[in-house]
Amino acid sequence: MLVRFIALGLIGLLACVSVPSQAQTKKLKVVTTLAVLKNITEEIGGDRVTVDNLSDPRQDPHYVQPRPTLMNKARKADAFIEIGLQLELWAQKVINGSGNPRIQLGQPGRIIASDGIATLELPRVVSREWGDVHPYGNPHVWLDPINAKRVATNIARGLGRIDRAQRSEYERRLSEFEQRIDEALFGAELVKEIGGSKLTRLAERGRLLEYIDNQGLSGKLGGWLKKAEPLRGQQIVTYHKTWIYFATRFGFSVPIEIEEKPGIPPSAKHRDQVITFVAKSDVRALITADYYDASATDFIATKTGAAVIAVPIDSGGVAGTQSYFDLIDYLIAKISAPYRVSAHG
Amino acid sequence: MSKRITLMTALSMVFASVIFASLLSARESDSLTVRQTVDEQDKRYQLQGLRERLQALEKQLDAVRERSQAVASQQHANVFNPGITIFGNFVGRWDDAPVFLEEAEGDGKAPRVDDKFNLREVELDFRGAIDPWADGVVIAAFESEVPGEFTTEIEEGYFTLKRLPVIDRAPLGLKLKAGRYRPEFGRQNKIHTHDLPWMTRPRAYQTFLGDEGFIRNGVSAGFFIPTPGEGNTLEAAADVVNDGGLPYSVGAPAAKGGYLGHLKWFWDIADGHDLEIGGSGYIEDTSQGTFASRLYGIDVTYKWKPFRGGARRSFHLGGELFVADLPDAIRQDDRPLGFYTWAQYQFGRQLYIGARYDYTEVFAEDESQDEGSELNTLGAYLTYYTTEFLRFRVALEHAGKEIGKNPNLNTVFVEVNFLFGSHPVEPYWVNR
Repeated sequence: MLVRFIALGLIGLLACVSVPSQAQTKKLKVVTTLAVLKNITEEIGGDRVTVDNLSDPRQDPHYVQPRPTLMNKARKADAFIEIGLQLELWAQKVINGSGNPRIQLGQPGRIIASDGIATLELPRVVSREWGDVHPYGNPHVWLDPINAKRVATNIARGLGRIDRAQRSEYERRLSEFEQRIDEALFGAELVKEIGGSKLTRLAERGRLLEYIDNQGLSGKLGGWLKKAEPLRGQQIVTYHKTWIYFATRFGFSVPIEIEEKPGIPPSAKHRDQVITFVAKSDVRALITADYYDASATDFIATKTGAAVIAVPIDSGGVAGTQSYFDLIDYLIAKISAPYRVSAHG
Repeated sequence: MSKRITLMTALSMVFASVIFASLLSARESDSLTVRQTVDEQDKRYQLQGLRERLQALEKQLDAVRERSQAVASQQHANVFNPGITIFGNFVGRWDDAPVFLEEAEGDGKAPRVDDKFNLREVELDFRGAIDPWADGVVIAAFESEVPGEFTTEIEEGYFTLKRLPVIDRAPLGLKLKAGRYRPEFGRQNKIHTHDLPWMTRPRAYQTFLGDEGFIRNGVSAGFFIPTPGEGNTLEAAADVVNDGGLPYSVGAPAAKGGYLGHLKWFWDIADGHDLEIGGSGYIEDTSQGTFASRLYGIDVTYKWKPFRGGARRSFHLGGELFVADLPDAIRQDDRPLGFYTWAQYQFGRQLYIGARYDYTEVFAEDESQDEGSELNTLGAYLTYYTTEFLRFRVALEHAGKEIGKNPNLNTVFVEVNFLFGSHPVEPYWVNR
């Protein structure tokens, strides 16, 4: 009898020991709303996570159809990662349809990637008179690589909340990702000289170029900021208010949008105003996300001679943009092309 | 003498050295003074620059603080309020024959509704989180068939459990709902009038489920049934609801309750193409072991909406079939059916064109009246959205002969649908 009890006890003990070990080897199931979030989550989570992205990078991220297949993917998820700021209006519908309590708002499995980012274009008055305004500011935050580091931090902290055992690993991978972003943005030589944190602080305050100039380090600037030099100080017209973060980081301004108001296609009158503006100024490029109707943009281009640059805003939207780094590389190359040609020509 | 000359020379050299040194010192001193002055000017200049920058930053900070306070105060004021949306549906109709409502008024005369404008419906939609476990929805409707006369009802009022209090995980994505709501019978029953892709509910809906569709008090459980592969899903819903109220079961014996089952298979055929097939069944049981009413439905919808450019192009093709098993007390061995089929093409960001054909077998309490009779309706419509919040629609509808009503009625409709308030995520895009 005693032997039987001991044997049962040992089996129970083994079972208790084996449960956590299984849990440790079990990968976290993560769903994301954008492919860039999938990229960054894979950078942070490594082989500890399997990530499924719900939208297609060719889609407008504002208007993804909340299909039952997306709900079913979200049903099995340990974490649901979204940009937030009312970018993905469809996300809550997917979560409600999933019936998954772990990813409801306020639960550890719901990760808002834009938390803590100082948003731009925060509206003073929130009214539909202004079109599809975002009450919490412009949500296209990931197009600034410095914000991508904040996104990665939120993801690392979020994964750490639901997988405490691997928290230090996520933090380690976060540091590596931040280092890679710094080197890609500022150039490895400058990062080595000054340090990524200080460069980031300077860039956020708009004092980076002045500082490195004063220090005689301008020649060491590399990476995306170097590649985007032709854009600095330029004016570029965009279709939608998609590019403010990208423009701020790479030094160009967006004096006017082709859309009359966010989400409102241009009237003939507004289109003519844009044509007049482009013709009078030195605008050489019209940028549009490639899921928008390009007819108005094309029309303005034919009247003014400006180049139309239709590009994806999510990774994987076209060949050669599979990772976040590829996407920013691609965007800088495409958007600065008209200015490089004119600078050399 | 030579010693004297040497001494004098030495003294002169010392003197000259002293004078040179003092001159040099004075020059260096001047240079230092100049340098100090330049440094001070530089510092003053830098200080001035820093002061200006500080002032600019303070201004920016004030602006940011002001905006964030404005947002925070707005949030604070509304933080526990539900999201509120108001829907208005305004319709005009012109007919080639008089149209009367079925219900007579106090003087016994049925009111005429042809050639009239009418604010057909106003809905107030309130929704929000109740607590960490549940969300609540209340939709109050003011409806009008005769211009200026409104009936008021709670069209829906329910809560859904998003987390079960006892277990952390919901098996099969179980969702529980209780209250008054639109059960999942067919595909379009859940859609409110203002969100329909047409001017009117299909005749089959009106005949088998009621003018406003199937709305019941009850409880519902929805869940996923595992399927092989990730490109398709199978969802089930089971409801227990109050019985009665079906248009064709008037006169049927009282029932203990109604039981509804719905199964929906959804398949992502390819990027931008999907197919949905649903089956529904509803049964009312009497205490005598006989049934009061039975209703069955099948729905099929194919949808194309390309990933790139999906905001400008889409296509829908679908239909629903209903079959009723009439209560024994009303009619024996009679199973009327009705169906509709529709198609819609989007040919711009804001424009949609579509058509619908309805067929319904008509039945009445007097069996001799409807022997073999049927109703055919054909409609076409053009819809224009300025945004998802404002929609204009013009439609033509031809209705075949209906017993006791107008022969071959032709109607032109215009509709303006508007909504304002918060932006709930459903269900504006279901039929877009």
